[in-house]
Amino acid sequence: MKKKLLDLVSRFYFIIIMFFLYAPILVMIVLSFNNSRSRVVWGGFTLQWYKTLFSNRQIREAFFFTIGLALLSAVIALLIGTAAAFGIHAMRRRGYAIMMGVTNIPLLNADIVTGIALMLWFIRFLPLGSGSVLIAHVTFNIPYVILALLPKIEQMNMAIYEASRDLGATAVRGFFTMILPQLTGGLLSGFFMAVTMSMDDFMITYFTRGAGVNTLSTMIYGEIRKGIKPEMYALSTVIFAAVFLILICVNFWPSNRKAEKRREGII
Amino acid sequence: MDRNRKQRQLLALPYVLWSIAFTVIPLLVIIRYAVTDKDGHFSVSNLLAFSTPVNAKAFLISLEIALICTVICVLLAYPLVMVVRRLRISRMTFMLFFLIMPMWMNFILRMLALQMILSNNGILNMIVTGLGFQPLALANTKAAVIIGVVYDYLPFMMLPIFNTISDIGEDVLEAASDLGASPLSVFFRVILPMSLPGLKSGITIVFVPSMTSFVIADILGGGKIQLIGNIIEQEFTRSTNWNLGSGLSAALMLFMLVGMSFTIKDDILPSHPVKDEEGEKKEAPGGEGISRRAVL
Amino acid sequence: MENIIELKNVTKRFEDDGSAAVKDFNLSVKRGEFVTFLGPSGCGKTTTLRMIAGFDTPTSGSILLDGRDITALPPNKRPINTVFQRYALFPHLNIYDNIAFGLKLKKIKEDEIRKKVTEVLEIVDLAGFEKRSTSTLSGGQQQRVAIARAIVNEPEVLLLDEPLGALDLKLRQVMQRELMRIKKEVNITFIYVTHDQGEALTMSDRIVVMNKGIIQQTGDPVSIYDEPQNAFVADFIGESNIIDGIMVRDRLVKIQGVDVPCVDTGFAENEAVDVVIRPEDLDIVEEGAGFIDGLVTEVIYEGAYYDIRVMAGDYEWHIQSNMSATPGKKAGLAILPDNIQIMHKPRSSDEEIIEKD
Repeated sequence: MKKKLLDLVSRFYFIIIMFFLYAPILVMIVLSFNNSRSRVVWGGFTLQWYKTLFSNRQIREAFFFTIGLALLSAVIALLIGTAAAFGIHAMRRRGYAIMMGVTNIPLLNADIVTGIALMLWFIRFLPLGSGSVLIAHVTFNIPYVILALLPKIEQMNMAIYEASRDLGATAVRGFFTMILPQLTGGLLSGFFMAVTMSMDDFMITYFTRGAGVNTLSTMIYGEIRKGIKPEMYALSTVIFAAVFLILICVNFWPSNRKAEKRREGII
Repeated sequence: MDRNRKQRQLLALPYVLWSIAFTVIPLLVIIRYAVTDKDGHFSVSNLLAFSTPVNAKAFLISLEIALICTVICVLLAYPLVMVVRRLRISRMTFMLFFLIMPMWMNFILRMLALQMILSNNGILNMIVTGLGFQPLALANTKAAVIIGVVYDYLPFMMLPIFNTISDIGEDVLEAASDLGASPLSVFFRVILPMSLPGLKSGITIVFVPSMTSFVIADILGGGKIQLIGNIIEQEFTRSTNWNLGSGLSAALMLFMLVGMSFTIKDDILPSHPVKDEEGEKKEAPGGEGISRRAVL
Repeated sequence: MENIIELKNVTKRFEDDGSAAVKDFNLSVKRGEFVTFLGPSGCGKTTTLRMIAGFDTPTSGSILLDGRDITALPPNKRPINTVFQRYALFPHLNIYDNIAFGLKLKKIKEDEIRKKVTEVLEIVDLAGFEKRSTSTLSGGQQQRVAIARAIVNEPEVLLLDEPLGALDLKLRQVMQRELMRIKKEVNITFIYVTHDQGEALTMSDRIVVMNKGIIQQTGDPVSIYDEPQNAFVADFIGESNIIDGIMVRDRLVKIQGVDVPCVDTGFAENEAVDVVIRPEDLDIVEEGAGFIDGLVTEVIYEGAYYDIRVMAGDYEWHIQSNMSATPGKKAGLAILPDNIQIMHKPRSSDEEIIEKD
């Protein structure tokens, strides 16, 4: 009885917080179907913003730049970060502590400070533009990759790698067949976090971009006073829905569910 | 063995160079700006700029908002993490869907939506008056900014706490209740102390950035709330006193360093596996790996 | 001696699929007794223990402590403590605070706590370890702390859930003796769960053999080993040759078509039975000198004896003998009538023999 009540309260609390986090998203999705340019007036249902999604050249450019930036910066961060995670793992106490300290800086520092610091540094040798934004994004993405990978590397079963070497595999082959598969989860979550953080960033892009370079975030920020183009709502809804669907597929794919059940299985 | 280890350490070289070039040096640059005046002469006036009435006011409001937001985040996060553990919602589903997913709706649009929800004739007030209560005057208030900051940073408080708490074995909690602890004592004597590394990470991630979210203050505070972030932004985009802006930023970095000294000293160092002469690792059961995963 | 724990018709069904982990379990444990639940993994022994501890509640039936119904009592209100398989020490507390955990919750005075902790550390042979952190201890030491943390509360019953399962063989044997010594010193009722028959035979006053949530046999170690009541028990406890037989009449059983004298009575004439013969009870003799002949297929020297396999008809006999044999040669098997155990065939699938691994 008491347990039932507690379960009920738990569920209620979970839903409340869920609602808090997702209410603004719902509002945006509703707005994307609003047949009125005003944010506060409901002008009836329409799909026109979805039809004209890419008719505006600026929006198109910002969209592709945002996606390209997120993917490219995440890939670069994945390459540098994965190598770094193996290197840091091999370090002794002092080196390890220093590297972890440095890795934590972009995470703990206020975004505004990171952004300004990079901007002040870039202007000395690099014109602000898409390149500077890319470097900035890679910089704050690498720590996410490292932090996702390090625990996986620590839990890794090195014996099977050594066994494969013992059975005649080359170091490279051993790495790709024995070590990498064990790290797939960490690599995926590191990559996903990096893409997410890059997409979500406003502050650092805002300070390190040059004139004419816009991500969706900085573009929307610039439009706040003159009024946001409704296509933006539609585009954001499309992005959100696409990622939502992809994650559902990845997470609830039958084989994954089974593995999860096994892990939670009664011992 | 040792040569092997040296070789593997070399893998970190690209990252070492990258972080020197784009993490360490930029911070030194900002410090250089902070301690010089416009002509490049040494000066502490930028660091002391905190004491001017406008800046001091912004600073105090920022501190207040950051403090309140951090506390609210902690108070919301713990019950939620416990609820998630109780309802056995699995780790990946919870993390990815529940907390990360909102980040895929554009941040500024989410803030604009929040503004619509909180505005005087917005959705929240429609519900409130519909239930027969007086409408809330939240628009352009400190409360609205606080709600926005909590909204933005709640996941960053929740993830590290969630990670440390989901690392606690069910048998450890059973052991506590077996030894006579009521559910409340189990929380305060076992779960809370064991989640401290996550809590510390959460506070460090949330506190300093929440003093600087000038976009949230702009949109939800209606320009009436000036955070230290707003002042810094204006120094760079409007008044172009970069030295002053850097001085204020450097002061914020100081906060970050204080926060880091907590997390790094108490947390990252001791829980790092003890390595003996051979370089083999002795893992400390339970405590191992918490801090490094705490952020993610 | 009065009963301290009584389980009456206890059944536990899993919430998700309704399958029963424990079925209609009845048992009385006497004060001061050392009772062991023995069975393969998934037999319901741990579930039963968890219901006594209060972590799980029975779907039906009741659990009595000292005659008082504690079925619905939460674990923190039961004067019962548990030693967990993976120790479950509190990593954020040092040894002293781990052991003092229960006492502090009882609001016992600090100097009293100090005295008790020192005493109990002495009992588990860890005097002077108060300030150490749990992570600096070896597995055996951690298990001692887990035991100390439980017995310091002077529980009515101590539950031990495969406490030695994570230790290596040598340490396990040392800890078995330690546990028996501690049991004598503190004189608390022990209920012990294990899948290791050696452990159960060594330490227990009474063994409860379980399979598929049902008690297969209850008895002291000697009777469990010497007089298994069904093929499952025979197979699970020690090694056995289990072969189909037909009870010709009292004291005569037909094995592989040969009439062999035995000592069992009370079976129906020509009843199909299970015949259980321990490998150490079989002797290797000259061809034709035993009750059956076969081909020696394998001989392994094990130190104290030879481990021999002999193929006779379609059954491979397992023999442990101090006489060797020659692989590829014929040999006879001999047995004393005393050493043949005759059992009824299992009536239901629940009693059916399962593969032991």
